[in-house]
Amino acid sequence: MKKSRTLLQSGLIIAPIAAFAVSFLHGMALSIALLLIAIPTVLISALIPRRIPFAVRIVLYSVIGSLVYMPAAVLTANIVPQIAGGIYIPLLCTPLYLTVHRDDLFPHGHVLRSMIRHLIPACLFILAVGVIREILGSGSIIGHSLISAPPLPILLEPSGGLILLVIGLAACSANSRKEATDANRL
Amino acid sequence: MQIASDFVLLFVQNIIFQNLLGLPSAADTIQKGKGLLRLGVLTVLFCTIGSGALAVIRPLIPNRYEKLLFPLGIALICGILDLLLVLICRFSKRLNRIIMPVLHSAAFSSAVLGAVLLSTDYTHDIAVAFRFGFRTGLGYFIACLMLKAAVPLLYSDAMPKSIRGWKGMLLYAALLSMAAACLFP
Repeated sequence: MKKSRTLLQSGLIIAPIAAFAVSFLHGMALSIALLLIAIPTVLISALIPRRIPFAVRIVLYSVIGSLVYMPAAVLTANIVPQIAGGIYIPLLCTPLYLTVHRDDLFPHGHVLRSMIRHLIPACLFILAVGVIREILGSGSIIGHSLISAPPLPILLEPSGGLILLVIGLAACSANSRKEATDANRL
Repeated sequence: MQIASDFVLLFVQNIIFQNLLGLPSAADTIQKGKGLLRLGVLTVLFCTIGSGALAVIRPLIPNRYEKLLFPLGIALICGILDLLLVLICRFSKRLNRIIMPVLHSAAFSSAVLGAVLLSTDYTHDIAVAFRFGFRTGLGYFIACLMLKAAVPLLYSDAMPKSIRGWKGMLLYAALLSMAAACLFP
């Protein structure tokens, strides 16, 4: 359970979520972009032989990630045309350069399965953050007004998003620890 | 006057981490336990050279595809600089010990990518791009110093277990960012 959240728990995709996922549509754009960038990048990067020195491999990973980013950005803009990705969509590439070689994250031979285990929880988490921030921060959901006076407009700021993320991740950690304790007891 | 306005801009734009851009690499480095200041210094280097070099090659990139091709340009520039530094480190054991543990985290960090992308929105001029990159990098370094000062407390028993360590650091960064937003509305 803990392993399936490692990409999130590592803190590497925190910035785009905290700064960009301020509504359901923003969260959806970020989730789609993450899937479209991460899956091809990790799959193609897995083909690079491990005997090549890491210093060279990481440069190749970054080139692959930036090449994959181009069609991914175009597709994301077509799927969610209301949202402009700005600088935050390309920022989703950088965590992959630093993690794609890690066997604990993407074990050799099980890359696709491990990606599903990492990316699905991450995308759901991003969507949940977007929905919570939209409801509490702007009092609406997908543009439809729910509350006339939003209770926490600070959540629309990066700092508010960061606080929400820390609370979410702390809850995840606490849950993981509880599950581990329960498993040990059994 | 220019220097004073530069410093104000530096703080407005960078406390903390220019819209949290550099937070992931700082969180990653803090999890490894050390090297935050080295990460800051290397980020200054990569931001400065990355912004300037991209401004140099920008006229060669077709206008229509600029936004799509910038990340590739940045990856190539930072990749070449990263490989050069790796080669330099081979000749010195001391440099190897100091630089290598954080080199790749700095070269391929979202701080550098974000700063260089922002510089493309800010200017077309090569000299201004170099200065913008340096300023952003310097702001990142100052932010690293502020985080470094708080690290011992963030890892102490005084912090609740669920947010001890890098999650506490995120919370601290959020509070600093909120304070900065109040200071520079």
